Amino acid sequence: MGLISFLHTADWQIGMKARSVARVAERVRAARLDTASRLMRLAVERRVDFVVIAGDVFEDNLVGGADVHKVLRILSECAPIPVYMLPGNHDPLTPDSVYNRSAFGDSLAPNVHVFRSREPVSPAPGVVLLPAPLEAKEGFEDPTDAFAVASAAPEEGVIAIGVAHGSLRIPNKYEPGDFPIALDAPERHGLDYLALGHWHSFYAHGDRVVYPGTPEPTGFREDAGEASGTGTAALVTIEGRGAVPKVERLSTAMLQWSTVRVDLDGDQQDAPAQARRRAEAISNPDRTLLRLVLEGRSPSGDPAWLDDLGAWLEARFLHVEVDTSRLLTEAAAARLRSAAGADPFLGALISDLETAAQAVGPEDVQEALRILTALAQEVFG
Amino acid sequence: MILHSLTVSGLRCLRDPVSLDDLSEGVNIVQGPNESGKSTLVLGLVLAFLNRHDVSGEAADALRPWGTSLSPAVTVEFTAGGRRYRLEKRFLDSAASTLSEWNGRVYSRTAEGRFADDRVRMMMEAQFPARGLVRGPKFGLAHLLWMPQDAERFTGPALIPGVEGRFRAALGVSLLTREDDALIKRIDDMYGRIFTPARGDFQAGSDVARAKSTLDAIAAELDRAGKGMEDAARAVDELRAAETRHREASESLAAMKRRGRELKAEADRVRALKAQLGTAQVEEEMAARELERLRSEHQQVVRLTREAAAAVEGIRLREAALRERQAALDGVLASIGPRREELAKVQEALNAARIELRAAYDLDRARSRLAQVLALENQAEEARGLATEIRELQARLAQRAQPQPSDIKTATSLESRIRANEAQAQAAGIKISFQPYRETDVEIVSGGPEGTRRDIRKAAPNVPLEIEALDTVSLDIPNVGRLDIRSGSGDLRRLLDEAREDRKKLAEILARFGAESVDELRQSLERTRRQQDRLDALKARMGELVGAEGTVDTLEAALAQERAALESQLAALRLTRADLDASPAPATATADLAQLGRKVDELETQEATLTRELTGLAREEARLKDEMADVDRQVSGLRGAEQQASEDLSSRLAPFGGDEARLASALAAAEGARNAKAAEVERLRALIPADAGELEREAQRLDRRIEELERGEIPKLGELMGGLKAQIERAGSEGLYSVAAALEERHHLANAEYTRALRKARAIRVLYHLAHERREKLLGALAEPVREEVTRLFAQITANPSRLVELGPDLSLAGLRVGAGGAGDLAPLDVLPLDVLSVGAQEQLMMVMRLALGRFLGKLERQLVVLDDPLVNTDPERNSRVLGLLDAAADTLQLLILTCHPDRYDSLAARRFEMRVPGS
Repeated sequence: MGLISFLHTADWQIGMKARSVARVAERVRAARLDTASRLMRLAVERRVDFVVIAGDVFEDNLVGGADVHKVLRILSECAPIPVYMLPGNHDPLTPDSVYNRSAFGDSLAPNVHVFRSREPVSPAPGVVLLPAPLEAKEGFEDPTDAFAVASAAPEEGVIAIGVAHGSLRIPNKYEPGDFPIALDAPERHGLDYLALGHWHSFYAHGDRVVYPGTPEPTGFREDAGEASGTGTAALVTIEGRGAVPKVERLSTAMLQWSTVRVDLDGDQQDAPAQARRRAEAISNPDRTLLRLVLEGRSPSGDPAWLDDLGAWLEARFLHVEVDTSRLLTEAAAARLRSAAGADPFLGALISDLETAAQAVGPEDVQEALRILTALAQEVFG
Repeated sequence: MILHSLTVSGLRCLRDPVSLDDLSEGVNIVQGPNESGKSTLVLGLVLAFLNRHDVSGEAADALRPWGTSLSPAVTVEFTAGGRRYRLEKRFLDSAASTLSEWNGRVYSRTAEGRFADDRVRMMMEAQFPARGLVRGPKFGLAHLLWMPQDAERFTGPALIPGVEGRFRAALGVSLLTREDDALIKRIDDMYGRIFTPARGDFQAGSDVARAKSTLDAIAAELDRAGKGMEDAARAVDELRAAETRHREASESLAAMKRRGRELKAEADRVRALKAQLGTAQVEEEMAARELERLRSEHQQVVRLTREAAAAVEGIRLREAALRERQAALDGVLASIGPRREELAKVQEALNAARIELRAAYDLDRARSRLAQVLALENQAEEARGLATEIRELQARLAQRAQPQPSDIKTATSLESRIRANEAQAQAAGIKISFQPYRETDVEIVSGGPEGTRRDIRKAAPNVPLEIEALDTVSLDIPNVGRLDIRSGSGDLRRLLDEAREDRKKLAEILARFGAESVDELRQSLERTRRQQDRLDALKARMGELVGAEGTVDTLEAALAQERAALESQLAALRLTRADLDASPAPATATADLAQLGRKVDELETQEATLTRELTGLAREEARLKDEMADVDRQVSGLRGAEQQASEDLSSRLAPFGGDEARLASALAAAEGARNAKAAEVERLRALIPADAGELEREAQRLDRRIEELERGEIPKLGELMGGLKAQIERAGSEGLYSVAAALEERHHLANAEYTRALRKARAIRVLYHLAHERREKLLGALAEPVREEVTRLFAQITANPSRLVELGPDLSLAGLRVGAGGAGDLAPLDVLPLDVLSVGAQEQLMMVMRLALGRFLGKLERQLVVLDDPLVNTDPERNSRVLGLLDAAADTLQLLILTCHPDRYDSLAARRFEMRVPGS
């Protein structure tokens, strides 16, 4: 067999927790399964010879049974294209491995395979896969070292593809216990391609070493797209033994994790509208998790505009998080003092609160001032 | 507000109207005894100003005079806010209330009924209760300024919201507005919804508590899920460890089985050698026993030979000893006979000497008795003479009274004083020198201590008549007349009186003892003393003769007894008294008696010596006989032993033909056989390995260990692994990670909710505490000048400036600081409760509180201060200081003082009203 093509993906992290967006956590988890389905459809559409998932299909070995069955159903959708799953550091081949469950027994779809050992596997004639399944969550040894024995005598003309999970030994980019992988692993083991998993952003080292990135971003730090490198997969084509692989980077994300920064300096009256306009520019808001960072000086007057803006965004976006930590606001005390007028008791009480800030904390005092403002408005009009 | 007049009727003890008219703007004192109705007047004021006219209920009904259906009625004229009013109120039956204002000419009605009540209530800043009579703090200004007499006497006044405005206006202090109160009320409401009032804990139904409850429930679930995951992780570790152990155990089992086979072969070889060794050891033992038997026989033969020889030698030595002891016994028996004869002779001589000595001794005793009888006869005769003389002397001494030394001393003292007084009287007496113109006889009649004396003396021109007299003297001069001269000296008369009195006493003493003079009295005493000395000497001699307790009769009785004893002794000796008198002199008899005694002693010594010698010889005889018998027995024993040894020797040598040499030969042969067997045993032992036992034990241990592994540890590990795998499978099927992930997300949301609620609660708490602290500070600003004024007035009364009165923010009395320094020097703990003060000091403090409060409230308008008997327990010194204070207070206050001690206010300038007990 000459030319081959295969889909290289990794780090699906099915079942991952989404505490920071807890209100839409289920939606976020469901989106990862949708993305998996999309990948399988792509494999069918692009007529790949096989699919390699280089580790961490599951977030943990103790994920729920429903997630396991959903994944297996999704993988079976691309039959007869064989799918090879490599146990990673999140779902290693430990005694409690998810891959030891009955779902992976006799009822497993014929096109779905799990690398349970380092024995080479041939997914198609003229191609050999050299797997390095992980057996622990942490390891200090290069998992590709096992290739040395397995690939000692590759057959003539057979394309050798290594499949492993760990961090490349790039200074400052790996931890010692992160299954560090030698940068020259392909040369050392005579590999045509080294399919890696573990890093969530797309990354290629040379021509033959590739991290496809997670197909679905896991947080605001992994915004989808070229710049961030997440929400992707790799479609690899190899024309023959020794040929330089061609790697096509596929965008696969279902959800957007967008951070929008709005500077409110300028026309104070227009500030709320400005923030809305920026938000309206985002496409697919119902599939977007938005972090709106407000900067500059807050408009004076009623601070309730922020509440209004938040409600407006929540009505449109899957998830909204408004960050006002960089917003310069007029001191609540000053506003209240101004409203208090000449009432000595209220004025003294505001001063007492400002003084108490050091003892009880500024947040509590701000809250107290907010409450006092509301009460004063009721009493003093 | 001040009063102008007050009229009360139909109220408790005041059935008929009682009026206080034209009240002074300064001090008014209503004085009267208990139950005259003073406090009822105050009650009338309270009813008028502080209660609705239509008040009802049990307490209101009790206002009627006892046993009547009269209704209370009160009319008050007063000025408030610069206007003069008249308030007329009638309670219970036909209740009515009318407020009229003075328009300069007459009172015109301004309000009636409840409107009138409310107008007056507002003037007093009072509050009407929902029902019944008003009490305590609801009195408003009256609560601050009127000091009651009842149980509330020592309850300090405190500020209430309605009166604060008055103080604000009076002091110019910024206080809380109504809006501020509303704001605080809202804060309090919010606080109350979240926190419990008592301890400030979260209310069960508050947002915080609910959020916390939800959070805790999720946390508990999360904790369970986390534990499940930990258990699964632990199960994984344990499974790995169990698998390792299982593998190691299996490998160990195989190795042990190999080692077991090796040990078995080695053990078989050793067992064969041990069997040979056992046989050789039995044979060696038998040879050793034979050798031992022959050695024993040989040793017995040697011993018996030695014993027979020793017995023969022993017999020889003991027979020689028997011969020596027989010779000694013969010698002893020869000495005993002569000594027994000598002893019989000595004993015979000794008996004779003892009889002779007895006779001589009895004679000597009779002689001594005779001498004693003679001596007693002489003593009896002397005693009889002495008794006669004593009786005569005692009779003489008893015939008349005998003067004592004290009598002599008294008489001598009187005589000396008489002489001294008379000498002084003589010296101070009358001295006359009469020189007639012609010779003439003059009869002189003079008085003295011894009576009137008449002398006729001659006087001539050249022989003047010198006359000395005591206090009186009369001169009868012929042809001239009788001249009576008397001394007017009081001292002279006193001396003469004393002398006369002393003479009388002296005469009595002398007469008592029949003496003519003091010298005669002294002679009588000397005579008596001599006779008494003689009597004492006679009695002493008599005592010597008859003894301390004896008499002449007892002496006579003793003499008779001795005489009888002598007669008895003489009868025993068959002698008469004459024979006894004729016997040898006592000295000779005593010498014979001593000689006889010595002879008896010598014979007794000889007898004892001989007896001891005979006893020694008898003992020696017995000892020798015992020794000879003992040696005889030894000889018999030795002969038996010698015979027994000879027989045993013959018996033991019989197997060897009676030849000891043959026995020695057999012994040497047995020793050689035993040594050969011992060498065989040693050879076999050397072939058996030293640790042969350990091999056996190791083989046994190995068997046990193999069995343990095969039946115990390996199957158990298999079971454990199966269980752990099942546990891990369950954890996987439960999807614990997914469960925990969902819980963590819920926990995150719940925690955010809790944090928000908690922050709000903390904020409200801060707001609540700060608002109240601020409120108290504002009220504190009001309290400070009042506190200073109360302290100043109290110090004026007590004259003790070191005590500072402490007030609460509501002006309530908080305590007293006591110390030498100022308030700043004292710690909070130095604030003492008021009850450390005496009752008097407490009532003074309550009074100055009213004066101080009145002073501040009076800045706007003169105020009425009612003091119902305020100085019941005050001492006079402080009372006078209090009057000074009251006098000064009257400059700005109207004082209405009710008292049953009017004397305490005597010096106070006041309008006074007299009350009498109704019906009296």
